[in-house]
Amino acid sequence: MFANLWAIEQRKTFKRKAFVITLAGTAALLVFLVLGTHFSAQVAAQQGGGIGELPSMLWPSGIVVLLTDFLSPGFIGGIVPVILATAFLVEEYRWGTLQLWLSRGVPRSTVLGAKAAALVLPLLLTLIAATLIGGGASALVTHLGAGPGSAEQVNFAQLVLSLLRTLTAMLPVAALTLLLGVLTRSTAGTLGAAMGYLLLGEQLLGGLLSLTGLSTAALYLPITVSTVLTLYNHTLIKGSEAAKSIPVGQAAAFAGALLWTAVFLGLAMWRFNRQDLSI
Amino acid sequence: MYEIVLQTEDLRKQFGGPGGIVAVDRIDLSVRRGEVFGFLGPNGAGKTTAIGMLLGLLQPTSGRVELFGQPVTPRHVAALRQVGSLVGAPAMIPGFTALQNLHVLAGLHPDVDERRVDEVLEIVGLAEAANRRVKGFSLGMKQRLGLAVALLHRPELLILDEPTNGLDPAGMREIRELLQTLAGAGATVFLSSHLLHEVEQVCDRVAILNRGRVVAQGEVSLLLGDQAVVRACVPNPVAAAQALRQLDGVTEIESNGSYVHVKGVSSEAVNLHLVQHRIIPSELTSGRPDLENVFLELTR
Ligand SMILES: Nc1ncnc2c1ncn2[C@@H]1O[C@H](COP(=O)(O)OP(=O)(O)OP(=O)(O)O)[C@@H](O)[C@H]1O
Ligand SMILES: [Mg+2]
Repeated sequence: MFANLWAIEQRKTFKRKAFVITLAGTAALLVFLVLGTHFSAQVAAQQGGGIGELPSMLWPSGIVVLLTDFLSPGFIGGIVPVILATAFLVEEYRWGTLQLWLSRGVPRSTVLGAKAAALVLPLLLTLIAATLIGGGASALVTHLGAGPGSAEQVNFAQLVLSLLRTLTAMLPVAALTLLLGVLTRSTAGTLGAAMGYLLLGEQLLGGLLSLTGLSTAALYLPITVSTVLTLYNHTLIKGSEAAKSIPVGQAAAFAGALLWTAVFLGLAMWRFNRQDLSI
Repeated sequence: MYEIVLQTEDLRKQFGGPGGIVAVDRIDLSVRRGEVFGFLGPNGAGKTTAIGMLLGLLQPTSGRVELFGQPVTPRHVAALRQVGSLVGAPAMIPGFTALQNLHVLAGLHPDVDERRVDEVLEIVGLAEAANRRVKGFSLGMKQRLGLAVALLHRPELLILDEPTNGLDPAGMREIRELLQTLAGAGATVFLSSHLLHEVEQVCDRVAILNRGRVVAQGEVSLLLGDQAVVRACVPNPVAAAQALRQLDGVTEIESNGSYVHVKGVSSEAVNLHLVQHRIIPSELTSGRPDLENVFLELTR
């Protein structure tokens, strides 16, 4: 039953406009960011450094900036799961299709669980597309500038792991959005609350924790711990020492992101199971 | 013996906690296999709320729902696999075509194949619009697709909340005939409506709901029979009314001009009683009201 439902959700997902738009939007935004950052950095360098320190978009550091900064859960890696989770869950409350499935004898936890599971593949596909396109743009500026050859510095064995890290970092955001979707059942409410938490909420929480002397605990807040996880993508560059100074261990960061995902999903499930669904 | 496929016991729903609106107030319904059961009530009577509980979408405040002998609540939904429903605005993905919407749903039911999808589109008269996006459908077309969705898996029980909403008169008749055909083939239909002539034409039995309570339940003919009015033209209506008060079974008497109106008894009984009291009616008619009058009477 679950597998069957997952397959249906998956097929629905790929036919949905929200997915296509997110995919295209992410790709366009990344090309813009990579090229924009690169050329701004060049202009800044020529003028003797005016815009502050812009990261280099040349290979190999460009690919790290892409997977760590641009696709971090605090930026595009947060926006994408918020949009997809909102589109795939909250809209179906409004259309009544969620109610329809439930009234066909499908258990509530199966419906929500299948939806959550069906989010992983579109997130992964968006991530892969973003990496290919953003990485391509970065390779292009590298080729135009320094010429080929710098790709040798990339630790390709780490690439798969980096994708996995960046994907895992998106999951708590997706699960949080599902929870907010179940709680508010409104597109605007879910988008607003999720983006509010991403952009502001967690900083406030982190600040409060630090004030009360719990700054270590603040490192384990959902977005923070997921962001920390993506910092390990620096291992993409051969011989990089950057990962040595990360305050949370890699395994702990993985566990933290997955744990928050489970907590948010569990709460969403708990609430969904008790919800009165008007028609 | 009748086989009961749908039963509620003391079913109650209060919105907004203690002190909130009681939308459904201790209703007992029982629907037999193979019948078309009408669920009637004015706006706000609680029909949709009751149906929400039948479908496991709303948690009853108290009481129980049983379908095919199995309990149904938001956490017990197995029995709903035999049920097709259409409630409120038909549920569908607006960006998908009619066909795509049905295909998505067909994935839930292993025994529904391509042929069945085409068949239900044919049944509801949407075959030509199959490849059009639902977004652009008219209200009536959406309603038809909603019916196709309800029928797709050949359910044993159909629960329909105002299914002819938005349909033109020809469409309404098609649906009425369709429901009768389905019931003839062994399906059970639970039909909520405030279109009285519709219910009168297709339903075997009805329950009338008012302010959350069932105010009458039974065979349509019996409900109508209870309310038959006997009208007698007599020389002295006041005296006749006086006399008829002693007649067993009389529920209501009214004198009006040279007529007296009596409810609850047959015209023969009225005739005999009047003659025994030496009142000779010069005219005696028995009018069977339509369901509309019964309904208005009961939900006043
Ligand atoms: N989710 C809800 N929260 C609070 N009150 C509700 C809710 N749903 C319905 N009600 C109230 O319950 C009562 C019954 O509503 P319901 O929709 O069941 O009536 P209905 O018989 O289906 O009416 P209609 O013929 O207009 O469809 C109404 O007073 C309505 O305002
Ligand atoms: Mg209603």
